[in-house]
Amino acid sequence: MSCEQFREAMSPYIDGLLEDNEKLLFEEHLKSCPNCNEEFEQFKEIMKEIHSLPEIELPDHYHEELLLKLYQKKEERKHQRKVFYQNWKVLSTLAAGLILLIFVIENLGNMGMDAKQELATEQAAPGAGTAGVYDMAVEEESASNPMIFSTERATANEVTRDGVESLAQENTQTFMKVEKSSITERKIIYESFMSIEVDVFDDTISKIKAITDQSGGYVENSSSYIYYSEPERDIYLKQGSIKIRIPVEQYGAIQEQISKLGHLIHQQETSTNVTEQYIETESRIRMLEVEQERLLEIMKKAEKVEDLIKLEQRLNEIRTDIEIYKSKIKNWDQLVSFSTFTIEIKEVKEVEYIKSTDPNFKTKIQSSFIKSLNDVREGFERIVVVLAYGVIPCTLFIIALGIGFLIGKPVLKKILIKIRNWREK
Amino acid sequence: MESMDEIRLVSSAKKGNIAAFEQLIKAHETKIYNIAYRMFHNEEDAKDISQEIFIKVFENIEKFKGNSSFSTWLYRIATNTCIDELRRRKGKETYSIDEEIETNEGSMKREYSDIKPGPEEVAINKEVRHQIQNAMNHLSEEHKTALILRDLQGFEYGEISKILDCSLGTVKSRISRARRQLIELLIKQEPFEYKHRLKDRKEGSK
Repeated sequence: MSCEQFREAMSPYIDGLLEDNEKLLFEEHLKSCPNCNEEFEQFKEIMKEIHSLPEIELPDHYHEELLLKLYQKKEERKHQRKVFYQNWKVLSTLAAGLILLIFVIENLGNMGMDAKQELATEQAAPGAGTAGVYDMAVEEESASNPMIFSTERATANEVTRDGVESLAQENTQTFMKVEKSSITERKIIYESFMSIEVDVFDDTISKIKAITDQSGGYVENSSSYIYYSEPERDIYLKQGSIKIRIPVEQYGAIQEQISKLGHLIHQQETSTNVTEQYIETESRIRMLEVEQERLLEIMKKAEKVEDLIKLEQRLNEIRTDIEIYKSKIKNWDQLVSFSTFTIEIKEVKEVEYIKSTDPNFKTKIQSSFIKSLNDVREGFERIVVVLAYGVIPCTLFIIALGIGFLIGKPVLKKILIKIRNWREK
Repeated sequence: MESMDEIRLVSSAKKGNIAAFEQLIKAHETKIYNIAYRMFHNEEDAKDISQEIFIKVFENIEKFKGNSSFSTWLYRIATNTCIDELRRRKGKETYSIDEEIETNEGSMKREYSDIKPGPEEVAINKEVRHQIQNAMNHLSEEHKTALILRDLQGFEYGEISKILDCSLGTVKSRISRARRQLIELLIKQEPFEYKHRLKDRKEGSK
């Protein structure tokens, strides 16, 4: 064995990896070569040093910190999954909308035509057009342009919504179901503002209160004041507003009921999606709770007063934060599960009546003039219509008369001649 | 520990159960931390990178198919992460304040002046350890990894070949080369001092 081979074999030798014959050769060389012997001694010495390098202990709270990081990661991933899930949901809603659109168009063809349906057709027709475009786009580009793809789908879906709402009852229900399911999963705050004019203010208020009670909601606040008064005739007109909170499932029904209570002047709806903030806050709470737990564990082991004070401080911070976040969540839960209706109510009918007892002369003339004009126009129209209606029977009558006259003429002549002859006689 | 326990814990960890994951890694935390420490020779980095390794493992646990034992897979990710990070840092090396400076005699002496009050033997030991660590920092990533796994963590050759995903022959040659290179570096680094000390110690022990 050469010195170089010996050097190569040192490492496997000390690990006991050499074959028996190699081992023998190695040991022979070791005895015969002093240089290599010294080198091997040095090698062993250094290996001993390396093997005696101490194991470093984990730093304080290493494990706790790691766990905290792991929980954070888990939350992040959950969040990412949820976002994906939501996207999937939106897509599936769009797909459902598309199917409904096709269904509606088919149904429309089978239905009779009154004014309402005509309107619906108008609305649905552009939808059909878009769908056609979308089909073509798919054929030609095979979905190479996802942006156009999705916007067209969205338009189609919107149109469907209009169409569905205005007629096909069953479709509306299906659509409502789709929407409802997303209400429960997502955190959306619904608010509605309505302004109505009514005959009797107090009646309306009590009706609204009854509706609210029935639905399981509650009145948040209400206020009213007299905005017009005529004491000598005992007329006092009230105006005011009432704010009610209704369970979100009954949002649509309640809105309809209220709008029927009087003359709807103004209506505004807003919906705020707080899903993202909600999930974020929830995970923050969980994070803080984990940290709190860990700190409490550490606290049990802590001995120094200094450490205890520091831990206590941090714990207090965490507790306050948790409280803040929890109240946020609670508030959102409230807002999401109960939609808010703000209704402004104005008593009006009496006012109109009073004003009409004291009308403006000019307006009166104007309106009566317009009325007479309209009457005249209507009269003419009626005549024209009647004439138009009479055109065919009249013509037929005249034709019949003509034929009768032509046929009857010779007979008549004979009769006349006969009569004349008889008289002459 | 390729037991039923491990299989159950892995499947539970795949579902996102952190407690199960905690059980899986608990026995390896110190080892992984030490590997990272030897790789970077810095406690701050060792903590950050070892924790990064565990998070990586947790995030990718779904990709663990059970072809090897969980620990082998864990150490593979650990060594790969360390090697990648070492390579990334090459060229834009950063020094933290308390990091040891290689072969800079002046600064080394300043550090050791603190330890002087202790017994002479301890001081020498510490210095030798530092020199070994410094020499290790000069090895290539592959050699360093093999050396750490074999001579510091005491892994068997077979295990190392599984962790590094290479043949037994490769492992043998890497370890052998790493050791020889390390010794050469040590001798070159402090030629007289080191040899002297070795001789002194040898004489002392005889």
